[in-house]
Amino acid sequence: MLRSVLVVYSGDATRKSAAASFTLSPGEERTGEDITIPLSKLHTVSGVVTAARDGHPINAGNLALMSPEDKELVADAEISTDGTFQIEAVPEGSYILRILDAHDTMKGSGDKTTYRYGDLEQSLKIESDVPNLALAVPEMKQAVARTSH
Amino acid sequence: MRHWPLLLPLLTIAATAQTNTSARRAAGTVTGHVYCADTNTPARMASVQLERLEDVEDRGADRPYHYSGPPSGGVVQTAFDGGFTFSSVPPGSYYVVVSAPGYLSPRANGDEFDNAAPQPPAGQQPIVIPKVNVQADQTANIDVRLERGAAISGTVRFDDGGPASGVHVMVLHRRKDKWVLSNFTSVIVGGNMDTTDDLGRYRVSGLRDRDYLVMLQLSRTDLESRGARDAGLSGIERSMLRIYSGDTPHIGDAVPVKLGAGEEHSGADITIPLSKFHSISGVVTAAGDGHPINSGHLSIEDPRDKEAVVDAELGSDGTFHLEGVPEGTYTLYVRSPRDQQFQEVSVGNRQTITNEKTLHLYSDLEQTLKVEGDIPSLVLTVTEKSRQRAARSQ
Repeated sequence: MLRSVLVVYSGDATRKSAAASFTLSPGEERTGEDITIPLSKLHTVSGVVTAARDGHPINAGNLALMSPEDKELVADAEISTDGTFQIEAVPEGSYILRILDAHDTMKGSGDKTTYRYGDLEQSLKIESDVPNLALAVPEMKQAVARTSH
Repeated sequence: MRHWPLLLPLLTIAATAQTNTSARRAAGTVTGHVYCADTNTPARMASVQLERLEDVEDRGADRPYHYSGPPSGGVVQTAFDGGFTFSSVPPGSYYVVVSAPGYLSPRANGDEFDNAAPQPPAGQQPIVIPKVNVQADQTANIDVRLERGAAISGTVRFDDGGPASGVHVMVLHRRKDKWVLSNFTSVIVGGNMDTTDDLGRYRVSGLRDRDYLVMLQLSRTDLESRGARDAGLSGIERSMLRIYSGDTPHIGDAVPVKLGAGEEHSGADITIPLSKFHSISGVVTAAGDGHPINSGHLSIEDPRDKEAVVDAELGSDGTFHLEGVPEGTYTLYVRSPRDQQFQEVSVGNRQTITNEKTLHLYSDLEQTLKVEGDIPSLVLTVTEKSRQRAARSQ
């Protein structure tokens, strides 16, 4: 099971836009291109996803954190069956948080989807651990949320 | 470990019972942290595995308390704070085996556990492997501190000065009177061999303090087409050289390197004495009429330890070609020389099988061979074993 992925670029940057590039000449032996992984700037984001309609926890769906500059995916996680989520090792910075494919599933009978919700998108600034982020997903944009398999 | 035969049936029953009821119900949790003793920092991305005590196998004196098979409690990697969690672990007693590059681990040294073996080999400190007891619906906590191991590094070059890249590097330590492989690694961290980089450099770390030999292995392998368009490729190892620290192809002449606890031993350079390796070509013929023998196995063995230095199957024209034979005096063997008849038999539509039939058997050949340079045309003669027609084989 993949627990976390962290990408670090030359220049100790966690975003490509902040990375420091360098040029190699033919046959050059370039040493000292050291990289420090900025652990103190990594944080954990956790919380719970509920339905805006009645506040019950949503038990299925995906969360994604994207960089606002280039919409690149930085980290993502699945919503647990109790509506909670946890994303580890998220670098400090501003993000677009997106919840996709949030839905209620019925336990037991092969995880049958009983209700689908609309996507949520909001900005999120991360400067330290975010322990109790409460997110509420809206109704589907269409008049009636159709039940599908 | 003595009560193995008793435990085995019990375990089988327990496993069966678990599959019949809910597997999750009886599970426990193991949490903890791993720290580096030398820096007092968390050991990040270290591999932690839970090995059930009952699964640790007693293989006797040669390699006591060896664990084989996947760790039944699971394998996890520590987070950036060194923390780890095993959820849903079946109740029982487990060894907590931790490995991280550069640090001492029982799994990285091919060593025996002291928990099970009360007397470690003479002059060696035992590595204590922590144990944890897992109970249903409970959390067991265990912290592990890793000691930094010694490391050996250097550059491998050919005797004309060129760097030897892509060479497999292994280290050996003495167990009783034999040199055995030391750099075994865990499930997650790498394979069990390191190779030299483009400049010929190598470094092996996480070693205990004791004497080591560095062993280099160079093999040259070709992938040849099998002839037919869709028949695929077959790998053929052309030569395999082994060189030990002390720039020698003979393990008996190798020079051990002594590593102190946590020592960084650099400059252990090795030169591959290519000029002292030779090739031997020739043909095996029958004593009576001199016809080539088309089947048999040829090997060149070091008379000191009876180890085969090189070996080859005879070609269908009786010829052989051996590469990478170090200078020295050897015993040459031709084993099971025989005249073999190969017949293609078609079976059904477009399919053929090769029928092999032994026509004559010859006696094995054993002779002394001194190698000081390339031997381009060695003629070996074997005598027929019996006049009677050999029974059909295979």
